[in-house]
Amino acid sequence: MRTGIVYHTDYLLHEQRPKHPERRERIAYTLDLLDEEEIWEEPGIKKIEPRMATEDEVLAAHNEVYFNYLTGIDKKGADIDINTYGPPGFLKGALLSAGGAVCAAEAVFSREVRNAFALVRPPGHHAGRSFGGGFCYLNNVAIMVRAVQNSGYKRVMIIDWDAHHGNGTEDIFYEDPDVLYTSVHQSSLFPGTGPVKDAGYGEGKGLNINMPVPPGSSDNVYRYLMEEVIIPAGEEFRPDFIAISAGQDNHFTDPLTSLALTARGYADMMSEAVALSDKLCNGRLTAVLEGGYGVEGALPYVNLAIIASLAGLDLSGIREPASYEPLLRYEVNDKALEITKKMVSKLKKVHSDYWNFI
Amino acid sequence: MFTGIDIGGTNTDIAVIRNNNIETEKISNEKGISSAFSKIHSGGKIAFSTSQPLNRLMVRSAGEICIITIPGPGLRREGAVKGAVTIRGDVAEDIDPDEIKQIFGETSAEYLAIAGKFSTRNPVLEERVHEVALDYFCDDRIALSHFIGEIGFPSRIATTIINAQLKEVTLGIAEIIGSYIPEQDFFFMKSDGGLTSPDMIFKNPSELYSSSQAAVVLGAKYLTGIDDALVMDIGGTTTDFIPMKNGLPEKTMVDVGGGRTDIKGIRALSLPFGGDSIVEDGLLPFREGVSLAFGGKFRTFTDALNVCGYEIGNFRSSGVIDREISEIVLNSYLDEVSKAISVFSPNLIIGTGYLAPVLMPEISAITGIRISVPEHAESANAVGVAVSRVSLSMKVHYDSEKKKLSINGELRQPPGKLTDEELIEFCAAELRKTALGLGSPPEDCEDIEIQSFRAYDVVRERAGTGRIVDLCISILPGISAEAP
Repeated sequence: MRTGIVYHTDYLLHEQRPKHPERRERIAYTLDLLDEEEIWEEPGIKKIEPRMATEDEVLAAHNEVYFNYLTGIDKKGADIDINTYGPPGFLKGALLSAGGAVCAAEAVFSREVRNAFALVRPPGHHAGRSFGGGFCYLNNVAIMVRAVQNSGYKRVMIIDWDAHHGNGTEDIFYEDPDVLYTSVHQSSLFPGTGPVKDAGYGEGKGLNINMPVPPGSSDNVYRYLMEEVIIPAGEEFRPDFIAISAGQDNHFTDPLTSLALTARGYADMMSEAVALSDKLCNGRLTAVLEGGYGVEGALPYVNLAIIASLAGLDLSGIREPASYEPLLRYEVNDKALEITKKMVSKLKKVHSDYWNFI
Repeated sequence: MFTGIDIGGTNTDIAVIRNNNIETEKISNEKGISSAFSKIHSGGKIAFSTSQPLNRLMVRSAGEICIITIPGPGLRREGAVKGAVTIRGDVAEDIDPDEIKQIFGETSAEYLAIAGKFSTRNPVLEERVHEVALDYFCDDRIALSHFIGEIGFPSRIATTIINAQLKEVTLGIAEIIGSYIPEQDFFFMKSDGGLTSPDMIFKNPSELYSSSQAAVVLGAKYLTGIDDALVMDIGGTTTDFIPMKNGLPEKTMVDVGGGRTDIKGIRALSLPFGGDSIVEDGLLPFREGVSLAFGGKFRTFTDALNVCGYEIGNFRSSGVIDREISEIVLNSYLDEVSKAISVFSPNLIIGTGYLAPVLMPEISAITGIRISVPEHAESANAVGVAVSRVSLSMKVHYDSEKKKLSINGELRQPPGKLTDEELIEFCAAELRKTALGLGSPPEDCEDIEIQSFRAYDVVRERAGTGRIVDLCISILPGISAEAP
């Protein structure tokens, strides 16, 4: 079976302001690379046309007051937070982005494709039930997860590896007993949320696993967290579906963060997630693009690495060019793994009542 | 004077147009290609079409072709070596000459294809590999990918592999032509029906593919004045059905050896039967030589037609074929032709090739479709080559921040910082200048079209610092304004 890629040229239209980091080139450069690699001609790839999310789909994740607020400011535009402006007509792009995520999951559940990558923007994981911000208006992953749940597949695991904590996604599923939210994010970075102690509430207690990592965390840190926490938690939770908030802003070249993941690190992490989905839920996995701002440097080939892993293509060419090696050596923090191990010890104490694997 | 020469599989057709007078000649290739070329006179515009280099291409085994690819970070490619060019055309990693030398030292291959990712934006790494390669390979057997635009890396690799094998043959044809018309510029026809210079063909010889079929369409258009029809070309080896739209063939992409390439084919359907097809108990889908009616030794479809009552060539020589078999052969041919025509549902069929005057009335009677068989139909291909105009495409990548301009894979100095409109204007002027330099009349350079355009801003620290534009702009093929 093939890997679906959701994409539409309209994803290039949304622009907060021309010089904003979340701008159209984020996808334009990636498309440039995908065209050069002729990814659309690969027999294992299927392009999926998105549609706009419906109001019902949006209201399954966001409350009516917030949605009405977005609808209200759509005509004239307004600032949602200090970093996020909703220009006039922005809602159409936000709905197409959320709808793209829903379409990706629909294609997976109809077995049209084995798994899928929604190459969408604007991103979503900072948008909560009643708020937006952090470049996000609607929570694409949350809207997709609710659509999956409403189709009868209740148990969903979310792996959020964006460098920023997905405060919006956490907010939406914090009390949900059927959604396991795991987040690896750079500590003390925007939005400042995501400490280990925030473990869920009520019936959702233990199902919110925050893993803040120090600046300079590289492939070994992410591999450790996959093996030590994410995979065992998934195996114990036994989801019907795995959703990935695929932020590509933890690459060592990203200008907005200080992490040090490599393209190969991303590819390996995605391969492990794919293997986990094969083991637990018939391979049902959908990745949705979140952040990633090294738009012309690494973002294109990191996105390619994600696609190659999803499609089971040969990963031996996924690497960094020689000229990036000094920067990688500079960015990697040799103590990051040690610090992360201490964080995991703390995490295990917080979660020891909820998980057998701990 | 306009001279068009189509080198086909069976014959070479020559058309000379002088003072509103068209003279055509068909010369069997069995007499040798030199025999045909000796009839060409210098002067005026001379153009050639031939699909023969690619038609004769035997896809060689992996051991005979050395492939060097420079993929940088990305999907794995056969023949990958160190080196990387970024999306912006910067060198992010140089090649390792020692690695390349080791590969060349160990291979017994005689042909070399060099292809780098994003080489169309910066060919320097391909050129560095080429420099090393000259100590190991004959330059006539080396092809580089950066001249091939508008397609992705895998297709460029596949096309470069083909070009490595075609380059020597193409250079050889040009050398023979040059020896007959020394100090005379000449053109090659491409698959889009337009003409280009030999130098441009040597960089991407795959452009010769389907040029003979394109020539037939241009000739049919010129001889009839009709823009839209199905052109049915009855040759010695095959019968081709080629839809003509707005006076031009329709393009398709071609797969060679299972890989997508830049080779542009023409939408066409080909039956393996023509005037020289062998007749035994029925019509056989191959040719062995010239018909009895033309002094040859073989019983062919042409001879069967003579037995059925037509008078082609020395028709009395054809009488050795049984009448009943001849009728069976004719009916089975017409049956196949009717089926092929029905694929295109045409309102009008233009017949070309030497059997067109004989067979087209019969085909019209069977299908009920109007036909047209123009004068000189038997050499419409050569006429098409003679009257065609120069067509050119520019694949442009412009990066205003880095002050880089790449045109058809070759780096140029941009004339200052250009707006989108200024860039288009500059490229259109360059196109016209190149076409005029090749001898095009100014009227042939007016039909310029933007095939594709993509642009976005470069932002640094929340400030716009430049713009990246990908543009493909062309002078379209067609009949030259100078053609009488």
